[in-house]
Amino acid sequence: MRYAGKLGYGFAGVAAIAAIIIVLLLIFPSAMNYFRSNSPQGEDQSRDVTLMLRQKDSDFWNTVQKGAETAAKEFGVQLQIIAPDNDDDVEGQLAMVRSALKQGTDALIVAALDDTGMSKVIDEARIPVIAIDTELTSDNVLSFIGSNNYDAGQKAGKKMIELLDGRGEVAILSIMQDDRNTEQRVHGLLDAFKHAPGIEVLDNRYCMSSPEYCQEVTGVLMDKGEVDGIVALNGGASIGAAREVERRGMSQVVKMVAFDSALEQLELLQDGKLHGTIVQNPFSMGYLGVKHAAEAMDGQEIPERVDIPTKVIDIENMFWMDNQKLLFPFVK
Amino acid sequence: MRKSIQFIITASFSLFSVIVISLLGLLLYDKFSTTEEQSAIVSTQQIVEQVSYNLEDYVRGMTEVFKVIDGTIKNSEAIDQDTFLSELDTIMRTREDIISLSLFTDSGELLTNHPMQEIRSTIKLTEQNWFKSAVETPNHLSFSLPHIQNIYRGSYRWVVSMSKGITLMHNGVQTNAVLLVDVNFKKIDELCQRVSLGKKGYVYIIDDSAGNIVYHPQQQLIYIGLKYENVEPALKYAYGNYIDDSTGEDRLITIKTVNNIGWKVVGVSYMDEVMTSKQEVNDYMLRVLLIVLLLVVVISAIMSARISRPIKQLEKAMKTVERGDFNTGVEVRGALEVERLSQRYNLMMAKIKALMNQIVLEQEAKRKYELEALQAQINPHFLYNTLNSVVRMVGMSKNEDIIKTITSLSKLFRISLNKGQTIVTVAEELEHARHYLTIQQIRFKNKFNFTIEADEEVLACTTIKLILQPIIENAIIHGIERMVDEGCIEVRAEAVNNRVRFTIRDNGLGMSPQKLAEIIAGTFRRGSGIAGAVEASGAVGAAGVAGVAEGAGTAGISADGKGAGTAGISADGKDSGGMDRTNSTERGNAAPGRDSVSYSGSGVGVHNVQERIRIYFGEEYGLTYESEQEEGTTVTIEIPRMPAAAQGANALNLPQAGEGEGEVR
Repeated sequence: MRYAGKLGYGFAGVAAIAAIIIVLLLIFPSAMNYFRSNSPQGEDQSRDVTLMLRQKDSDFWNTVQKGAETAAKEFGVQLQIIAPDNDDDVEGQLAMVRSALKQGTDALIVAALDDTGMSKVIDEARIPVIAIDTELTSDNVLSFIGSNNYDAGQKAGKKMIELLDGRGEVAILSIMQDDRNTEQRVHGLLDAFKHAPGIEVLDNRYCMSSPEYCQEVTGVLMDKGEVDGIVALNGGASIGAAREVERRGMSQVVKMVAFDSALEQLELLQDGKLHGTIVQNPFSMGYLGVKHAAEAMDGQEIPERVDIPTKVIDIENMFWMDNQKLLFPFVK
Repeated sequence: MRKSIQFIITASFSLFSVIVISLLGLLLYDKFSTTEEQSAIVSTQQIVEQVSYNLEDYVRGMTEVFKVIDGTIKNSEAIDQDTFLSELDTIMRTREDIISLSLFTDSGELLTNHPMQEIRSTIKLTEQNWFKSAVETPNHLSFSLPHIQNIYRGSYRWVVSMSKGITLMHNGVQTNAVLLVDVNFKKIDELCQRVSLGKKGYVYIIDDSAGNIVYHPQQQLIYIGLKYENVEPALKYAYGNYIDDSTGEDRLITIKTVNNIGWKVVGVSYMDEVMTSKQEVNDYMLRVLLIVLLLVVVISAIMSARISRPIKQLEKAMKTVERGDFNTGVEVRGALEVERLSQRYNLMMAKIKALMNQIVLEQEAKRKYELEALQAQINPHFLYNTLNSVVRMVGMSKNEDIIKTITSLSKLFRISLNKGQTIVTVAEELEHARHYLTIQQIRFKNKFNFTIEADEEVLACTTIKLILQPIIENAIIHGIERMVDEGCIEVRAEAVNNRVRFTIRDNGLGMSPQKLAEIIAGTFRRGSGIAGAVEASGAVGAAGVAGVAEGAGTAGISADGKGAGTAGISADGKDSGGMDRTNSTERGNAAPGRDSVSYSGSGVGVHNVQERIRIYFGEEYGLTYESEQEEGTTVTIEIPRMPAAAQGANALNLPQAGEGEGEVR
């Protein structure tokens, strides 16, 4: 009898223990989920993303910043934006990146002035790094987000050929020597001109992105001889050149193709003093930079390369709905 | 493998409860989901309607503004009057959503604007959409899509332009004019942000005609192509809702058209947000299910243990019986049924025990009676008398009779022994009777005749041996022997229904009713002297051997004589002690079983036959006596009709026959 009783309760005991184990097993994963779902929120507050711009106080980079800020809000990261005062402060930018890395940030988005120097700095980084605008060769760079500058240069060339009807003297206002973006744009531009034998390149001058300096350079070029067209490889240069051309009262004569879409450039465009501009999409650049940085921090796969398309804008199409949306950041 | 009761009960209970609870849970969950979805739809609808009303309100407000301006212009003598300008200024200051107010002639000439801004010279006003719609439908307030206001020098702003064609006095001439009011998105944004559609949900506004987005909380991202809003299906609805999963998430889209301006308010709420309690209920249900499952498993395990424990105890008790111990009782406590079962079991065990004892007794009795019958056959007395007759016949040189007697004697014994088998055919039994009768006929000097008849069909039937001979013996001794006339004995075997009936009839003296009663009483009384039977069987050999050895000696006679003297004479009043049937062995045997029956040894035979038939075939078979004094006695023996083929089966019932074989032989 004893034996039988023991056997009965033994089975009951085993069943009870089994049931408890089952319950624990079922509760455990949900408990794990609970902790897992809680932890990222804690991390969110400390997820720092540093955005290194090429230049302070430029329309283009302000828009990049806007995009980055929008994404930072959406993806819940703390955004630190740093930039050298001028785009010729190559060493200063490298130093800023170094110190940012030293201070400890969780991800870095960098628009390099000096791609070679920056690549070396980035080689030492142990955090997700995303390059925007300027491509970097470092293996640590997870993703490049930017325009195809060669292609953009070709578009500018074709627009200039069209404006000059394939014949004329063209001056080029570049940004700076040994800058990867500048070189690619110039390369694309010159390749485009090869198809138009009537186009003659007068000179290729580097005047950074300072309107004042570029105005001076334009003055020098125009003094030298007759200039039919000016291609300015960035916004600042185009503004300086336009001012000089206007000062000389030659706005209707000298055709000008520029890059970017600063407000002043758009005014010039609408006023017929700028005849075409190659616009990138700085907002997307900033937004996608932060978005992918956040995704990389979450351990997600991010694309190695994101091409931001460029578009040729002139007075005809600048107020087309699509282009309005592209050119003018929406402000409520 | 067979499952145990415990397992079956536990498993089926658990399964059943899980199924029932799951089903119930599923139904409830389904009902709950539907209800919640309904309420989510309703609340989203209300929110969207709220936004829509607010927008209508806003539009009405704007219409008011236009009316005021219109009225002011009508009242003013000139549009550049200070009062008019200050009026505009007041409007501008009270409404922060209004960016600019402008008044153009229908040819595109600026009359006045506020704040004062230079109009671009390159711009063609008449080609602007807002201008065209105002000219085309005067007195109707038109709303443009969001666009960049590019007519003012030095500024590019995203605005919604409201325009209306009005008439006014300009330089004393009635002129058609266009009033333009540009508003920013502050107010619309505020209206849309004021409502809450969950954390992720939002409200956006599209244009009715082409589905252009008028306002969206992520307008910039959509404009630049980083985000996408699937407005196509929303366009199809004027009012209603649908579920959209184009973004990979289930979203509840609710649409309401705003009157007058051709805008649609679209509310987007995420199902996983509006259905949060659904998830909660889900979790809760799962938890309840688990707890119930746990309880059911535990309870049913305990319950089934309680049910199966007494059964296991019973099993254990049965095992002890299996080992041969019939004395263990079961004391099982538990459910009523189980207790009853154990009681029944105990009763059954008691019954089995009793039956076993009975079988033991019966077997012993069987053996005893068989031995008795055999002994009766190998009775030295009979042998002695027969041999005496033979000697007498030798003296008279009756060779033929001698041969007949000796042959019959030998056959008689042969059939009697029958290799120790208890069962013989009716034919053999009749043959046996015939031999006996033949011997006796010779012995009694043809004092009687006999006939033996049998139905053909019963000859092959089986019977236990030595049932006729004792009866015949009785008939001769008590019926025929003292008769003056010639006696007659008829033996018949016939089939009656399912029985074989033997009839032994004599025309002898018959019996007095008293004697008949005695015989009947003696016949039907059950003898149960086990010890006696054992003693008897032990004595057979000795007596038998002694009897045969002393066959012709005097010692045998004197001994027999003594025996006859004590028991035989008083009962029958027989004078011829030599002919007395009783011997010492038989008497010793008879002593414990038959206390008061004191008629001669014939009683032994009748009783023996009766008992054997009963033991072998059952209570309903046996002997019947009919007797009348001076007329004769008829004895009927009934046994079941069993064809010889059934003999094997019958033998199975009599395992002791085999055992007896060794002893008898």
